Amino acid sequence: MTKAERLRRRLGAADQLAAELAGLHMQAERELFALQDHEARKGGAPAPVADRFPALDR
Amino acid sequence: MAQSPIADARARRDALSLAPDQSQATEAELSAAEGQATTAANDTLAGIEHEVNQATDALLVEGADLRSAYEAVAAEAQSGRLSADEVAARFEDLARRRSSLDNTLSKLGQAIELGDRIEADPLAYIDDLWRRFPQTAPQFSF
Repeated sequence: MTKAERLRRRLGAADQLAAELAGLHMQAERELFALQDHEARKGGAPAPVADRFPALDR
Repeated sequence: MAQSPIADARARRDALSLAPDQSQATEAELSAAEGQATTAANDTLAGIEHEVNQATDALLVEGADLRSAYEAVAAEAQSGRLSADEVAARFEDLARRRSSLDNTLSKLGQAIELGDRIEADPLAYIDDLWRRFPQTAPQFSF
């Protein structure tokens, strides 16, 4: 195995972590939109997040 | 005396009609330059290896920290303990950190590709550098 291959294998663990973080990012984003939506509804705001981002509606 | 990449020096030498002892002397110069190139390539590769290893360690620590922080933000958003603005501020901070991590990951990937190139042909890599920066190229007597 070459040095570059060893390095690439090691960096693979960080790559996997980055992919996991992308999933967590989307999940946290959904939670944030849901919370904003909830607050908007409570405050009587005219355009809830779920209407603006229907794909994120749960 | 001429300062040039090894490939150019070899082509110059091959175009000359040299006596056997002169030919031997020029071959020794070319071999010395190849040795110099190999050492330079190995040093560069070692530098890349060191940099990538250190940065990967740091990335794994930062990534694990970010994972915990994302889970915490999601839990806080769900629980309603924080306002949407507070959650949004934390989320933005995490997004910046994640973007920085992705950028570092990409740069390390490029560094590894360079390492690949050097390992595949160390002489060609350094000779190409010498061609682009002729003032750093070796001196030849021919």
